[in-house]
Amino acid sequence: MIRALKAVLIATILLGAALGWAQSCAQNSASDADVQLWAHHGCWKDFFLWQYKAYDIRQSDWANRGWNDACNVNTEYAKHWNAAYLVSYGLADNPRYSFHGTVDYRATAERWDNKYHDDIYHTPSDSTDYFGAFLFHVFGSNEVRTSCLLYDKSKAMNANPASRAGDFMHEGWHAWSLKHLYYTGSCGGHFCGPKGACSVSDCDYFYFHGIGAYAFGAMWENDGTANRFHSMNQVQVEFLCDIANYPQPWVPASVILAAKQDANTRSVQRFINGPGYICGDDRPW
Amino acid sequence: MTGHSRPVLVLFALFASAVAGQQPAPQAPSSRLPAQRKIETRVPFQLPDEPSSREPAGVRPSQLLRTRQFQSFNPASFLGPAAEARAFVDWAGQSRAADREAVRSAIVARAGDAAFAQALCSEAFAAKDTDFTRALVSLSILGEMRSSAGEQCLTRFVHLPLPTTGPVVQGENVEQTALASLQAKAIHGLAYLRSPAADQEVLNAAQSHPSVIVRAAAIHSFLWNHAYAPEARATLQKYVRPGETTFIDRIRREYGDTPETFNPKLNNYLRLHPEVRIGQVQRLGRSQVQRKQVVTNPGVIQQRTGIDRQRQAIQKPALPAISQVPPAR
Repeated sequence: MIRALKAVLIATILLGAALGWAQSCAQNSASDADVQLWAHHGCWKDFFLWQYKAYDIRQSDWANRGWNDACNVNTEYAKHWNAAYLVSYGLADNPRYSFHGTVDYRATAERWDNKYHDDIYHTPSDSTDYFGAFLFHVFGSNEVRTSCLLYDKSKAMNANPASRAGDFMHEGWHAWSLKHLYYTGSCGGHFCGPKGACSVSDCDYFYFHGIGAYAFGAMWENDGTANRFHSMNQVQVEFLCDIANYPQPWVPASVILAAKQDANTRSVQRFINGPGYICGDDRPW
Repeated sequence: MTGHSRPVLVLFALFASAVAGQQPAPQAPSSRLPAQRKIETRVPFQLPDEPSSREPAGVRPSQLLRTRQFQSFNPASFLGPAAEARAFVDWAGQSRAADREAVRSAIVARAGDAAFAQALCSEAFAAKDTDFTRALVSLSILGEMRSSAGEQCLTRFVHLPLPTTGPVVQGENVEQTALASLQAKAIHGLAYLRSPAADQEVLNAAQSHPSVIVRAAAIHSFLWNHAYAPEARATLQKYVRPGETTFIDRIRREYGDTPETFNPKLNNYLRLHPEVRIGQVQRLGRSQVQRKQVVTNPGVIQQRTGIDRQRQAIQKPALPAISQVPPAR
């Protein structure tokens, strides 16, 4: 009898380990910022039924990550569309103040072949070796992959809707550089670091531009020179900064604070000719 | 085989089938009954190819937002400062961008409550390893309070040692970056006190904090809180590391900056620091296109096959209209 109980115990542990292996990225918790953004839209079915098409989210990739539980903010798919909601509706879009508009950020993140990139689709990954990745595929759409670090709040500061959406911009801009055939470095599509003011191993340049330099809808433009150009981290910083400084009035404070902190941290760490802009003022609240 | 091991094997087989998606073990074709063959010819059950939810659909955000007006924080219903601090962090984090000034007033109104500040401090320390956004909100409230209890807490937070172990992603220790980013927020709070002791903490951080994230925050916060006065610049020059003097001139996009106010600041910065201008960008040649296809991929390039990888002929749908969100108070 005791042997049988022991065997049941061992089998239970094995089962737990197997399930844990099959689904290693947490599906049972969400950051305050995710929960608080969620509370501002509830679970809007019309939106996620639009979003899965607009981001080419596929059942085979997201099956055990909330595909059939899309109103559970603890799951990865719900967090993915929570971030997409922020991209679609979260910006105030005032061309007098913002670096770029929703039209630019949506076009960068969404699937459709456009002036920004060829077709892309979004997948999740349990990896903790990278935040996101852009993968070229010979056949079919290219892939934007977001890792567990953007979904599991215990693993990194980036597991919040603003940083996740920021990563959509970053990976989407890799797709831009491929479409427009620009060389952006040999370390994962970045210049190898640490180098200059960049303290990490994947570095970009910051191509400074003024407010109003790009009309809304023109972020994709380049003239073959550094005068009209963006790097991946720069697009990410400008998006985060636009969310932090010029959000819609309903955007929760926790999302705004996270966006601002990510923008400023990234601005200091990731640019060879950095730092980039400071985002907003330094009043604590 | 003993009598004990038989139930064990049965149990193990049950668990194994659960792990394997409850698929029955394959059988040899010759042993199959006609009825089984009939079942196999049916189209296997497939979930619909669109996401679904277990809960009923919620109302449209426009309706939800219309009913959600700003509500003041009511401390009367809480038992003790710890519960109250937790509720306050929830309330403040949830508050809308439009409610910023009202939340600031509510925070300042609690500045004299040392027990409340202490409880907020505990909340920040508890959340730093579990939820970055909660710790960030807690530290922001403490900074906005401008209290002596808050000052002690923020100073303690800034002096936390950075972790030396932990996952490294693209040359960045992510735990170190997270803590340094929170410490940068704590620096914002100390600089906002604008007291000699807090200023000295900020200057010390600008000089000797091990993270550039915190050093940069210290430089910018000191300048911003001293209205970019020449004296403040001169003071900073004594503390800032030789390789980081660019941080003193760095440009900031202030709230309300327009092309007329921001662009001259940018031009001035580029004139002072011509070294940050980029000479040229590089086009990919034909061979580099091939190489780029590899370097942008962290793993093996996967050529997805199968029907779900076929380009789906979905027409571009229109973004659902959120309708008009109620204006700010």
